[in-house]
Amino acid sequence: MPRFTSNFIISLRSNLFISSRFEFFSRSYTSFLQVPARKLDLGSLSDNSKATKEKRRIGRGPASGRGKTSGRGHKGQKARGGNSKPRRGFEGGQTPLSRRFPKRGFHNPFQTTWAPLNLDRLQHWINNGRIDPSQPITMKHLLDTRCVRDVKDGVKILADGKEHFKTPVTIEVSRASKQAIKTIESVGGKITCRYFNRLALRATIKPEKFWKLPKFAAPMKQRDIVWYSDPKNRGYLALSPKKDQ
Amino acid sequence: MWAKEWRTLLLKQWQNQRRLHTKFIPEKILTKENSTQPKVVLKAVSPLPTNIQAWIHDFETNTPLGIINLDRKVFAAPIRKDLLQRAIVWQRDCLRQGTHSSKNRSEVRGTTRKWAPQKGRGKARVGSHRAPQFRGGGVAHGPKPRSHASDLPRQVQLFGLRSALATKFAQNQLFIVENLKLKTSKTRDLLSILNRNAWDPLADDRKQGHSILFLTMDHIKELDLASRNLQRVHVLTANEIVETGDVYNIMGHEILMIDHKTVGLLEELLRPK
Repeated sequence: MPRFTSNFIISLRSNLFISSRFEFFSRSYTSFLQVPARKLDLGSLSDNSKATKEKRRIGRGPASGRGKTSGRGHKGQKARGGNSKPRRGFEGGQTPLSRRFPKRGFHNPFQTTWAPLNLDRLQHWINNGRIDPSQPITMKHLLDTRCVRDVKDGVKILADGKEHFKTPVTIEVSRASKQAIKTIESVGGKITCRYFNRLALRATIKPEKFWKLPKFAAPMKQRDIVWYSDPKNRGYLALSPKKDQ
Repeated sequence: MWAKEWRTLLLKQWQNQRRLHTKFIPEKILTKENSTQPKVVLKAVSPLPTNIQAWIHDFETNTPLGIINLDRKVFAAPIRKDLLQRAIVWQRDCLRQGTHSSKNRSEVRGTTRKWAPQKGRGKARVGSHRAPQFRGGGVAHGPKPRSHASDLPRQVQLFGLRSALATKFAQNQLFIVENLKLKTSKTRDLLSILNRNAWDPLADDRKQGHSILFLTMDHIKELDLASRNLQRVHVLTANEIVETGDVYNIMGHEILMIDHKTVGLLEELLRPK
């Protein structure tokens, strides 16, 4: 029995035509079954030369070129340690603007901004064939077709131009107004409002960025739980969404 | 003048080369209902075959059973020595324990009393005897426990995996086996199979035998148990290898033995999108 069977030989034989022309297109065939000149294993690997930059070693004697003064020159503010640009907003010792006046207002960490989407705009996109109404519509479709420019914390459907809305669609977004729900369902469509945290929103919008899609988190705040389990809002946690109708 | 002629010559040559690389494919494309004529689209087609071929062996007897088509983009990917190196360095960085530690002058046991008077001794002034210039003193800027982990882009990891498989294929170190199921979980039986087929991990004519890596879909109980006590034989699953970007293990073993089913999974996971 030979020690190694030759996979390589049969693959060459099947591509005899190509291998005879190796020299002509040597560049385009470099990727094609060239045995490395030296056997590659853990001992013979190396990065490209000059791929990484060597670290500057400062203050290691005159022969290094950065010995005595370490490239800082002689004396003065710049030659001393700990001297760099002053911090942001520093005005040379004078009371800076940020401390001269009292604080005012507050920052709300729980603020959410919804990206508004009106029904007439959605209808226009469907009419132009940019959105396929036969498939369920998610926020990914809306963003990909630029029906919504930027999904901020989620999409909220509003009822501007509801008299133009005629197509039955199944749609899943973060929120919807009462009028919008009414018009979508009167036309024969279906709407569900779903809670998306930041990760879930990113996973719906850009699923290709994920090696594995994460689990979509349930809402934790009492306010959100109440809102999404309310059948009036067509929340996805509501047990019987059509009971209300 | 001359430059112009050269340019035209070069252009012509380039066009000729392109003509060799392209085929003209008429393609019916859904157009508006009014136009009846099918549109003709010019498409550049790679002259390379999409597949390369390899033997399938029987694991117990090493007899070739047939030929399998392997994806060229995975098993004949460009062999990039530098990316292999980077992937392996990254992996070994992550493996480092990083528990090295030394004591600085505040941690070394002992007093910080002033060791000698400031003046009148005729020698250099001295403070604490645990300062780094003294014997028995602390270490200045010594090692402290830390993580050595570095980052590598996911695409580079995948490229590394592809080129690792390609090197194994090109160097005839890749064996595709129909089935890795063993009858018993005895190490003795596995060794006898490996011996018979000259894949011996304990060979006599070499100082060290071959190291073998088995790649399977899932962990097979018999194979795991049988190879557990063999130092140079390891079993990993394809998912483990791809998820962790494990180039080190592929390159570190001399023989790579892949299950027939696992080949498809590897191609699916590693094919460039």
